[in-house]
Order: sequence, then structure tokens, then C-alpha cells
Amino acid sequence: MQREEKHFEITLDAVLQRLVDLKLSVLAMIQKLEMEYMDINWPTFLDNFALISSHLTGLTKILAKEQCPPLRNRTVLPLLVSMDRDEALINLTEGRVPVFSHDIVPDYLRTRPDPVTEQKMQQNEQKASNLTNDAAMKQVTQYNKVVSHVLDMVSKAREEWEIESNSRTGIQQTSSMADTQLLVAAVGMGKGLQFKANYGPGPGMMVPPSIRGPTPPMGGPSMSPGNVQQLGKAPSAVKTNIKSANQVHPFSR
Amino acid sequence: MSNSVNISVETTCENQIREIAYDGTELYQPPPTLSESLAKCAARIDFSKTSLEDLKKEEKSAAAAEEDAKDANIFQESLWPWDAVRNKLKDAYTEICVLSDVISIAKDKRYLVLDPLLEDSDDTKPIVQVYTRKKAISQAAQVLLSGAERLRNAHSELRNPNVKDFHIELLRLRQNWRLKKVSNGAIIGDLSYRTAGSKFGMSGTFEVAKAEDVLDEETTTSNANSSGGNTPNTQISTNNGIQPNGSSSLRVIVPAELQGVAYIKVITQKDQEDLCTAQVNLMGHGPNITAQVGVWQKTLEFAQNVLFCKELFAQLAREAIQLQAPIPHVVIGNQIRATLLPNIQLIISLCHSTSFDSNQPAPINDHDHVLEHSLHQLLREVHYKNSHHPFPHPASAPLGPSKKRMIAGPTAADRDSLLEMTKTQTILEQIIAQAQHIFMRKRTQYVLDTLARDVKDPQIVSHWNAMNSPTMSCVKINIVTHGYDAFGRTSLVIHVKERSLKCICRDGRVMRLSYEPQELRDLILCQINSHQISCLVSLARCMAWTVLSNSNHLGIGKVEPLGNASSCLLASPNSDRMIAVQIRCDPQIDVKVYIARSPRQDFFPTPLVPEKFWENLGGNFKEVRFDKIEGKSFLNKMEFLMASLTSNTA
Amino acid sequence: MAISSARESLSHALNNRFLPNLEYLLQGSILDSAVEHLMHRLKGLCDNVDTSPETFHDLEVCMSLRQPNTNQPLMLRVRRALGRDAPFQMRYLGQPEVDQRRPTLVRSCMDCACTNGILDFLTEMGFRLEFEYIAKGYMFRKGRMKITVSKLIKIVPGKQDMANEPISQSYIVELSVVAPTGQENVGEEMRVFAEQLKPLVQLEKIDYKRLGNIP
Repeated sequence: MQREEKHFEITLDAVLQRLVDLKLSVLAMIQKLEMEYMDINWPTFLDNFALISSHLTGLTKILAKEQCPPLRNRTVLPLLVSMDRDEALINLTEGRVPVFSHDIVPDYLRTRPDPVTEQKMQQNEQKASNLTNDAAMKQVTQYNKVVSHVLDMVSKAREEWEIESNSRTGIQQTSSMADTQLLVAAVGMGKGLQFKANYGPGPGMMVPPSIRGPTPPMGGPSMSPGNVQQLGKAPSAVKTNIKSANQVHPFSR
Repeated sequence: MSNSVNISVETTCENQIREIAYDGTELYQPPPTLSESLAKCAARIDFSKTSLEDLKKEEKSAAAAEEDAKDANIFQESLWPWDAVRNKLKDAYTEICVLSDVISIAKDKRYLVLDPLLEDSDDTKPIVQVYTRKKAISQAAQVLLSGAERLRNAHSELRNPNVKDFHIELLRLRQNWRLKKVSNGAIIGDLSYRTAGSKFGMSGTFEVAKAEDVLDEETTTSNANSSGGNTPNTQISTNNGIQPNGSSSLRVIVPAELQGVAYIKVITQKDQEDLCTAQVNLMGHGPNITAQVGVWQKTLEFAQNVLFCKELFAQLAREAIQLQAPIPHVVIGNQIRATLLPNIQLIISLCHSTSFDSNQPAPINDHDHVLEHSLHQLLREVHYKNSHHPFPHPASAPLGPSKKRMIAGPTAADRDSLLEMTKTQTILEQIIAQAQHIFMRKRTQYVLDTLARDVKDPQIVSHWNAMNSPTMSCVKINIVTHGYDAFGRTSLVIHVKERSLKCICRDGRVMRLSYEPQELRDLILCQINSHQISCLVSLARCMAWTVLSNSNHLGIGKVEPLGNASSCLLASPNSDRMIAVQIRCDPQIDVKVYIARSPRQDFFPTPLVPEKFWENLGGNFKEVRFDKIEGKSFLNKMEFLMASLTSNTA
Repeated sequence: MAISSARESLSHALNNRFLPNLEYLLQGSILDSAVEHLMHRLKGLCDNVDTSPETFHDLEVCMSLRQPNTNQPLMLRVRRALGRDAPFQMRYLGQPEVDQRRPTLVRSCMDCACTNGILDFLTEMGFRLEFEYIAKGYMFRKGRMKITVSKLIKIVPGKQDMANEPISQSYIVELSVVAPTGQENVGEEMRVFAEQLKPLVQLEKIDYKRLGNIP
């Protein structure tokens, strides 16, 4: 019992949330109509309707869910009717219901359905009463049969479609997060690019050999052969020192 | 015919009369705008009728109903058009509010609770549910069926070879134009040059629509026109003026400002007389693909051309205002006036006619293809430069600066060279320069041609270089005497620039001439003059005559504007005859030839000059009636003269 | 305008916000196998679709200078186009800012074209080599956005040029704009463009300073 109550509460909350959304979008639509009717156009108009209908669909979904406790089996039972203004009530209903009095309650609780709806229902009832119970049962089973058959067909077709569309858009992986991080770290901080260990001591004297050398002004060939030669030999500490000594005094050349 | 009666003919008024004033003036209602007609449609929506059948019937009967309920209509129009929609929405809003309020209050559990009932309350018979479900399902089925019907129609259209498939045409359109699908399913295209580098603000969007069944279309449009309650779509098509014929299943809707035909007319005017005109439009450029694709291709090409012309003109007008010319450029309406040379004006005007069938001026055959092409090319160049910035190298360098600008820092460029980089020539400046050049070239051609026609004796042959730049061309002039080519030819080269000429003679002298044609004429005459003398000198040498003296500028006689006459004095091989030649060239070439002989025949000793040997001194020069001498040309005549004089002595 | 001194004109440029000094950056990577696909898409999206994509082959050297008071060294990057007659580019990059409200990473940035003597000069000043690599790939342009797709190649000391090998089986993809301060719409423009490259490449704002701990 306790669980059922809790479940009921959750459903109510969800329904209420949906209702608030729906209310807001309808309100927005009305406002749009009233304020901007001069320059409203079909697309936005239709978009608004689409929004409303999606909220409605959401609401129906909640109610149609299996875990939803049968709301039909509940009735609205007034507990307290009072003539006094209730601030809490006003807050709760956004100012629409200031008092929960005897003359507001029947009206507000919609004790009777909408006349148009009621009329339609009555029509159906009348039609139904013309049939014998037996015949009616027969029709119902027939109807169920047909509907379930159609449902089978439709769901089968849908399944096939989905399989097809899934196979068509077989998404291959085109990028890898690990590579991204590796590359970004390399560009940003030289991660994996440092080669201090390979060179001898004397970090202050370090020069980038591949950029250096007798390149003509304003660039030149991508790698002058002399450079490659120098790179080709195992750079000894002495050599590096000689070279950097040269670099220290560029004006002496 | 004097007693004929005047009949005034008026068109029937298409719009509803809104009000008739006391003086009988009829105030018409303006045709509905798009949003108004949408509002009208919206007012017709009845939310209680939900089935499609109902809606269809509604649509069909709408026109008729509107006719019937004119009073009602007028009454309704005074109301707010969205009233019905709003009321329905408000009802819905109320219900939603009630529901949410009830639930909130119930959750509060002070006034209300949702009390569970016993489960047996479900007294509705299943058959009742069946009825309602049936209805709901049949409505859903209706939607599906009508959709299927549409698909089937589309499919059968595909089979029908007469009707082109919309999607195939869309594919063709997509191959040639930029299209994109927007959220509400419409297809929008872009015919502007923005992707090619244009920065022109005007939008070039057009809408692609599927042409509905032609018959249906006509009825709806006529309906719309008669009742005034038309849908947005048909309204555009009626305003459009471009109705593709029925063979195409695709329709493009081009905004009103891009409809019609536009071109840019360039006229060079001297005083009030047109010298040359050029029209710029892009029609006919590029491969004609209209045959393969639909009529829309033509429509879009026209529209794109309109856009291009407008951009070109806007650019020129902006430049005309910004440029500081010695004689300011004038921009009035659709016309720009710029002064090329004194009394010569360049007029660039934008012509845009929106109606297609209006009597278009016959294409002027005399237009200048070069200037036309140049204007087109100049704007395209601007576009190209806008979109083709050089890529930076190395790749980390900033985007934008030119290569020159990039090396300015490392090469320590000075302020002057940096300023030089910022200078660019505007389109207007360039087109003026080109027009000036075209004008100068024509003038030079004219001067040379008339001279060649008028002066027959030495022949003037001019060779124009076929390859030239838009602002510089080059002509080589040869002056030769027919039959005496070997004796000498005078050649000179003239560079025709924008406002000046540069003449380079064979001896290396360079002369700069202004745009006045007389200067060139004088120069050529002068050259003819010296040609004649120099040829005569070599001819004389050839015939063993002695050249005693020659001068290109004699400095005698009256001062002539072209310098002086040139002259030459020749003596026969045994020095018994002398010929003196004087050539003046003002204003026509005028040759005077004198001869003298020694010993003079008429020498009589006088008391003052008693000795006989004085007769060897040359006698008086007698003028030869040169025009009577046999010979085709000056040199020919001189040859005869010298020959006869030589033989006389023999 | 009379220019009195370089310092004055620099501050004038900064104050009037026409000195581009902020780099907006999005980064991502693409596997070698899919790079053709990406190139096709970029060709369709970027300017100058008629020409083939621009290639580049650059050598970047990062130099650092330890400053006495701070423990953060000053880093300068020098980049040179290999096989091309172009000036060297020196670049200062500030600390990356990853702001949740902004769609891109933002860092201050200074670019300067230099002669080839710049490395000597920096060495004289006491800068030392931090790391270097070769970037080789393609670049594209879309308005003011620059898109580079590049392969990073590690320089192995003591080996021939050919022996230098790529550090990963992916290309790094960078989308960047250098703009003056106060142009907030740049980020949005870039976000929209990056959106169009999905799902091929996920261009994101990646704070590489935080990646330091990842081995």
C-alpha cells in the first residue's frame, strides 16, 4: 500500500510537470498571437503547434505507461470547504483560486464532462445499447483480432526498416580521443617531443640543429645537406661545444 | 469627326472598395499582404473539424462561402483575424490550468484528496470503446491514406514522360546553384556572388517550389484574384510575373527586386553626341545550359545578372563619391558621370526594367566589347581578391596580410613602401583610365587614317599591335615612298596611353604628346617632311649628284607652327646644274623646286663684272612647275628631273 | 596621424582594439584512414573550393627562458616553412583559458615575422630549446577561420630526415581565429563550423595544461 501511494505520488509529479510545460507553451502561443500577430508567419505558427502537441504526447505517454497506477479508480474528494482566503492556495494555483469555497468547488472540479464530449459519449452509448451483448462481444473480439493483426504487420515493417537504416549508416570511428590528447599535448607542451636525454649537458648552450646552419637568408632548401650530415653523425659533446662556441660569436664570422 | 464622343475607358477595380467618400471618391482596400492573407486562412481554421475530409470540403467551399457571406466577412474583418484561434487556445488554457490546479491542491491534501475507489467502477461497455477507437483509427488511417495517395500520384507522374520529375529537376538545379533546405521543409537557394567573394549586402535568396498541377494552379489563382482571399504561395506567383510554362515541375521564386532585366550602359559622350556605348550584362556568357535544364535556369540567370549589375553600380557609385577628382564625378539616380578628357564624358548608367514584355530597346550593335568586358572583369577581380587571400607560410602566421606585407617586417620596409602597399586603384579609376585609353586609341587611329588617306605621296603605313593592355597600346608607323623603299623608310613607334602619347623615333628621340589630336598630326607631317628630304638625299647620291646642303629646319620665311620648311640643295655630277628643293608642310605638304645652271646662259659681261669666268657662278634659280613633271611621286619626279638635267649636259 | 614612437602606436592599436591579440582555438584529431573523408568535407565547406588544398610543411621550435622570479618559463615558438622562401614566424602564446561560457579555448597570442637570425638572437638572450617538431599537412580558410589538418613528426636526433616519424596514427585538426579583444561572436562562428565537421572530428576546447599528467 505504501509503495503504491509513493508510486502514485511520483506519477502525479510527472503529470504536473508536463502540465506546467503545456500550460507555458499554450500561454506563449496566445501571447505570440496577441502581441506579434502583425508579423507572424506560417513556420513559427506551425512550430508552436508542434511544441504543444509534443507536450500533449508526452502527457499521454505518462498516462499510458504500465506502471502508472489506474487514475480512473480515483475520485476527487473534497475534504474542507472554507470561505477564508488562503495565501498558500493562492500561491499554489498562481492566484487563480483564492478560496476553496462551496460555490467554486463544483465548478472547478468539473463534476460533469464537457457538453460536447458528453453528447458524443451518449451517442456511442446509445449505439451500443442497440446491440445485444453477445453480438457486441463478437464485434469486440473481431476488432481486437484485426487490430492486433495490423499491429503485427506494422511492427514487422518497422523492424525491417530500422535494420536497414542502421546498416546503412554504419558509423565508423574516425577519430580517437587518445590521439587527440596525445597530439594536443605534443603541440601545446612538447609532450613526447623532448629529447634532452639524447643530448649532452649544457642546456644553456642548446641550439636547434635542424633550424640552424648555413641557410641562406629567408629560408632556402628544406634541409641543407650540411645539416643532415651533422645530424647524421653522433653528436659528441665536444662537437656541440665547438658549434655553440661558433654561435656565441656570430659577428666573428 | 469633330462630333465624336469621348469615351473614357477604365480598368475594373480589382480591390474591394473600402469606403466611398461624400464627394464620390472611392477608397480602395489595398491588396492583402502576406501576413494578412495568412491571418485570413487562420480565421478559417475550425478546430472542431479534425478529419481531413472535412478540411478539404472546407477549403473547396471556402471560396463559395466567402462569396455568400460577404456581409459576415466584412463584419469579421473588423474583428481581429486571430480571434477564433485565440479563443480556442484560451479554452484549452483554462482546462489545463484547472487540471493542474486540482492536482496541486490534491497534492496539498488539505482541501482535496484523490481517493481510491473500488475497482468495479468501470461500467463502460467494451463496445463503446470500440466505437470511439474505431473513429480514432479511421482518422489516423485517413491521414495515412491521403499521404499514400500523394505518393502514388507522384509516382505515376514519374511514369508519365510528359511531366518532368520534380526531384530530377531539383538535382539539376542543385548541380548549378546553391540550395539549402530550411527547417519548415522549404528549399531556399542563393544566387548571390557571396561565395565567390562578393561583399555586396543585398540578399540573393530565392525559393524553390514544386509547381502544382497546372490546371489546379490556374483555378486557384483565378479564384484568389476574384475573391481576394488567396494563399501566400499563389500570391507570390501572380506577383512574380515569371510564369514558367507547364513543362517544368519546378518553380523558382525570385524576390521582386531581382526580377526583370538589368544592364549597365556605358556611354562616352563628346558634348552631347554619343561616341560609343557599351552595355554590360552577363547574359550569353558561359555555356548555355538552358536546354538541358529547366526554364528556371533562365530566370535565375536573369536574376543573378540583375544582382551583379546592381553590385557593380553600387560599387561604382560609392567610388565616384569618394574619389577626389579634379572635376568631381556626379552621381544622380542611376547615373554616374565622369569627365575623361575636356568635353568628353563617361556616363555609366544602370538600367533595370522589371517587366519582361516591355519593348526593350534593340541591342545597340555599336557597343564596346572591351569596355563591357573590362567592367565585368574588374568586379570579378575584386571578388577574387576578396576570397583568395594567400595562405600564410609557415602555417602559424596570421591570415590576411599579403605576401609583400608579410616580409615587410623582416626586410625592414620603410614607411613609404608600406604606404605604397595600401594603395589600390578603384574600379571607377580603372574604368575611367580604360575609357580614356580607348578614346585616345580611337583618336590616334583616326588621325593616322585620315593622314594616310590625305597624304598619298609618301605612304603612311601603321601597324597596330594586336596584343595590348587595357590602358596601353602600341602602333608602329612606317613612311615609305612606293618604288623607293630601298632609299629610306622613316619609322616611328607611338605608345598610346591614357591621356598622352609617347612617340619614339628611330634616332631615339622621344616625344611626349598630349591628348590633342593636332599635335600628333603635326608630328606626322613633320616626319613626312624629313622623310622626303632624306630620301631625296640618298637618291641624289645614287645618281651621282652632289648634296650641297640640306636642312630640316630652314629658319627662313614666315614662322610656321611646325617649325620651318626643310630644304635641300643638289648639284649635278659636273656641277653645271643645281636643284633647290623646299618642302613646306603647313598646312598641306607643299613642294617647291628650283633649278639653276652654270655657266649661266644669260651671262653678259658688264662693266662691273667684266670677266667671262664669272659665268660659271650659278645663275638665278628658276622655279620648276613641279606638278607638270612626269612621275608618280615626289622622288619619282625628282629622279626624272635629275636625269634630264644630267643628260642635257652630256 | 603622426606616429611618434613604436610603443605609442602599439598601445594605440591595443586601445582601439584593432591589434589581433587573442587566439580562439578548437582542437581535435582524425585517424589517418578517415583523413580523405575530412578533406572532402573541408573542400566543400571552405573558401576557394576551386583550388586544391594548400599544403604546408613547417618546422616548429619551442624555446624557453627561465625567469628568476617565476617558476613558469617564458616560451616562444619559432616556426619556419621548409622549402619555401618565407620569413620565420615567432609566436608567443599565453595561458589557455577554458571558460565554460565561451565555446572555444581562448589564449593571448602575438605573432611576429622574423628573419632567420631569430634563433641565434633568442639563444643569445638565454633561451634554450624546449622541443621541436615538424608539422606537415593541409590548411583551409573559411572567412577569418583557419583550419589546419597536420601530421606531427618527431625529429629524432642523430638520424636522417627520412627517419623522422609521425608521433601518432592521427592528424591533428585545429580551427583557429586570431582576433582583437572584444569580438565575442568569433567563438560562436567557430562553434557552428565545428558542428558541421561532426561526427568526423570532434573539435573541442582542450586544456592541454591539464593533459600534462597523462602519460
